[in-house]
Amino acid sequence: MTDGYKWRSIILDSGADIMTYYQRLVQRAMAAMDQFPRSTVALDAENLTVLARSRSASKVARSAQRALARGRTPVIVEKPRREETWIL
Amino acid sequence: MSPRVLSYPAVGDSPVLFVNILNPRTGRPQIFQMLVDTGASRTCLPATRADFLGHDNLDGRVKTTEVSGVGGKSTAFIHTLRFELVDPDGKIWRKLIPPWRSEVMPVLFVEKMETQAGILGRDILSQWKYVGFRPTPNTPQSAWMVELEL
Repeated sequence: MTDGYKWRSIILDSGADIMTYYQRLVQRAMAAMDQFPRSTVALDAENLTVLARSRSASKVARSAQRALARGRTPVIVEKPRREETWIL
Repeated sequence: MSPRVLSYPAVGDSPVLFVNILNPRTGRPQIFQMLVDTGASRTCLPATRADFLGHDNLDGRVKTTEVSGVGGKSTAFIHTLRFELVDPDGKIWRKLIPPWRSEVMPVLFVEKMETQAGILGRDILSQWKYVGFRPTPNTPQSAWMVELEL
């Protein structure tokens, strides 16, 4: 293996490390929406893990408020209930 | 000082951004999906999002107004919020510095708004020097790149 190939391989293998936080946020949010398509989901902004999820947005809102009180920053994501056509 | 250009991969197939939204009373941010909508004169959120931000639509002191859209007229509750952009270039959450922050501003929480994302209207967009969209067809997860200049 040449050094050039080795370094390229290392960089590709550690792709998550070269992504920006915002790119990781979009990727994780899309994955959460696909995993829980009928739920409102609150992610923890720092580590992008699921803090709460429910079909009831108000339940997630209460969980998000509790997370805020603990100093966490919730990310609220929700997949459109159906294919949406915007005409605005 | 040269203007700062920010590029955001959109969330899905619409020009949707993640934006920090703060209740000015607590100063604590939450991140929401917001559609960049040059057709909307005012920034708004679904009425159901008021709970998340510590506001109460049923409080008798809350002012209301009527808004019109393609779907007809609706009541909107007026609450005050502050918005921040998320740094699109930072690598680590703890080190992110918001590149732009709004003043505390009135925001409409619309009763008959069935979308999951809020809407960033021209009251916010007009505070930036430029905003545009560029299609990125090879990345279906983010079908647009939203570019703005501060």
